[in-house]
Amino acid sequence: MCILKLESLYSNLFMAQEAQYTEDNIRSLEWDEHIRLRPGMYIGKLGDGKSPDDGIYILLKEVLDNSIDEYVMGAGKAVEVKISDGQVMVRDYGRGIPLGKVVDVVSKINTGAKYDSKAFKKSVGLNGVGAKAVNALSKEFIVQAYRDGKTKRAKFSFGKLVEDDAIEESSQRKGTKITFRPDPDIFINYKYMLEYVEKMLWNYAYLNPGLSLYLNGEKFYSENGLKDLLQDNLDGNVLHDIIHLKADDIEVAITHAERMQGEQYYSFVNGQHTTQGGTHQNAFREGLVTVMRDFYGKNFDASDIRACIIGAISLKVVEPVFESQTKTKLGSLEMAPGEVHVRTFVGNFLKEHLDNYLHRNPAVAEILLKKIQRAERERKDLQGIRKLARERAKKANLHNKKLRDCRAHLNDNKPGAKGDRRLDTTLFITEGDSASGSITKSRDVNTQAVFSLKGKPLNSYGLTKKVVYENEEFNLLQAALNIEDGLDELRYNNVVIATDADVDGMHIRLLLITFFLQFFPELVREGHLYILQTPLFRVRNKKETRYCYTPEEKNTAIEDLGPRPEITRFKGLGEISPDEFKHFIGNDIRLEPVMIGRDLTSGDLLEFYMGKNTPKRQEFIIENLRVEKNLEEEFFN
Amino acid sequence: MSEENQPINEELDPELTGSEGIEEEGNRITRVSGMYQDYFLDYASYVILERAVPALNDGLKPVQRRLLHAMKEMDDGRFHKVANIIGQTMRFHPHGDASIGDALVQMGQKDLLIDCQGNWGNISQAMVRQQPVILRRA
Repeated sequence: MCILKLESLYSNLFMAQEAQYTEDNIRSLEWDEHIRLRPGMYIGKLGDGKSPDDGIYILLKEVLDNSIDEYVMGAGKAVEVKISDGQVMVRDYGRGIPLGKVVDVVSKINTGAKYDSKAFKKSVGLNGVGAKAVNALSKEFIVQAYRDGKTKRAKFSFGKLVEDDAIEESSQRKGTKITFRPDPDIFINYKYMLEYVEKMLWNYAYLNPGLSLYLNGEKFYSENGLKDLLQDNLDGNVLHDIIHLKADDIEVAITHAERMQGEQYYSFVNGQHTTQGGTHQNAFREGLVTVMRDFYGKNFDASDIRACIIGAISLKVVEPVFESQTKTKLGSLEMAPGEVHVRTFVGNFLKEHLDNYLHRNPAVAEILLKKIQRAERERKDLQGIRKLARERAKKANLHNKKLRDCRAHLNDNKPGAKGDRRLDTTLFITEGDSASGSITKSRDVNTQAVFSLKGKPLNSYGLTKKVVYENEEFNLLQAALNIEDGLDELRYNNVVIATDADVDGMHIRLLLITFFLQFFPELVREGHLYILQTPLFRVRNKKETRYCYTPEEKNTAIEDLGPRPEITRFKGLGEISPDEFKHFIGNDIRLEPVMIGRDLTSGDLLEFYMGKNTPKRQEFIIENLRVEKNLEEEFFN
Repeated sequence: MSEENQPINEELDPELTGSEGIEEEGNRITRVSGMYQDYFLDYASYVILERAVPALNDGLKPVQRRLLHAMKEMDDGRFHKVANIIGQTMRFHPHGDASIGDALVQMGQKDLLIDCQGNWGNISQAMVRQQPVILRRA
């Protein structure tokens, strides 16, 4: 120890002598240089658009926030968004930027109109930074404002003004139009996933009832705010009509699912979707329990009261504080500096409004009571087995034999070198030991962990939660992910199903997705679950090697690589050697997110595909049977 | 500000709809329902066509057909070890040895197409090493 310390001291001294520190070292950066040098400070992470918190969505959000603010101020009931070919256009019909300041507001930092208005204290915006950050990080950025029959347009490139048109006459409706194309050198290979943008626009629509948003012509509109949010996202039947309560600065919607499941919340602060919750969500959960206990006059267990709940809360806080840079977890304790606590505020609100509601609607109160009692019964049924499983899990934590862990985890609390990579943490669930062998060899030990299944997992459809404890594989998987008590302590940001691209691999994917949808739907809903895409073919000649993910890609590669390239078909992950695997799980990793669509509830979906064999399913298979003609030939090669 | 509050016609801006002249991005993700359909059909079709259901022409499942073919190739009038037959069959059958072995046991127990010798179908690992099989001549 001592020697080590001395050594590091010595090297520090040595360094100090080497590095010169004079006036020349101190630099002041231009605003755009600074944004480009440290984009993370302004927009969180960079990324290429594969996950919903990637930078390119934040860019869109910053621009949209300004348009939404116009709506909040009572100007312009429509906002139009167009995304195509990597270019984004946002047009609002608000008041329009005053023409003389069009250039300033998008290119002079700390310039804005919202510093002293009361309404904008309760915003999450960057306050005079947002639009500039977008400008500096865009290859092209065009701003055009229309008002009073005149228009003014300016164009920037990487934050530098390139065209500054004179004010012209125009017959266009007033408002502001911003078009930008993110810088491809910062957002490498970026691509907007319209699904994520849709989700974002829906959230805007729910939080701003009456506002119409358009994405490439598709309309997003909500009449009833959070009530619509729950209604649209319901998965299966509910026990009662949605309870929708509103007051100044707070809006709440509550219902309960019929099917037994955990808790599910949507929480928002000043229009920002806080996917990881925070103080307001905790206050909401606590408040519910207090109200219910008082109302029924019984000391029910908190988890029974909250079982099956689907709730949404939206809160407006002055100068909110977030626990993370991506603003997904609220940390504010007070509604405004020096004012009441968030907890008290939400608690009092629920106490008054929810209590009143229950008194006025005895039928709902009756239903809720039954639900609580049912949850209590089921919990007690599970108790014995859970205890046993806990002990087993304790052992599993010490040594989870199916897991080869990585160093960093999503639930690490310490910031620092490790904490910075928390969002990169990935768990690969592989099929069989042959595949996990090559992944283990080629993975990044800091952020990538491997969990290997043996053979096909159980079809968990229709089984109770008991099976998660009884089945060893599921129990270990649950222990590895650490999701027994909800998502808060999830250990990996990305859970990736890595199976072979053959039919049995497909089957395992089905079984695993079923497992997650059945017992941990929130993991899927919050976008943690992915499928790993691995190449089907390798085409190479003496000079070049190409990996192809589809037969079409293969055909173009064969054409490109000339007369007789060597073609290898990867039938399983075990056939890919570790050196090659490095490319498939490195920076160019191809992940397909598993997303729940609006078209089918997952209950119906699972019932149809994973439930008992039905004539309907037989018919479906007969009608859609996939015959592969050259299957036989392939085996003989 | 008062004049800004007039109701606003919510129609799309004609200049903006399509005037940018860029094609729609086909950047759609398959939803979980699409995944289910896709994976399920792949798997179900394969199981029906290539694994579990005997063919109409000869009443054989693919694994059985491959076994018979391998045995025909090896046939020299003598009994062969089960392990060797499995090894030969693996050239045609892209799955594990255990599944081939089990299929062979089943066929032997029918006592129709192949002759077997010794303790057939019991304690399969030992069997694989010891018991010989021969193709029965029609």
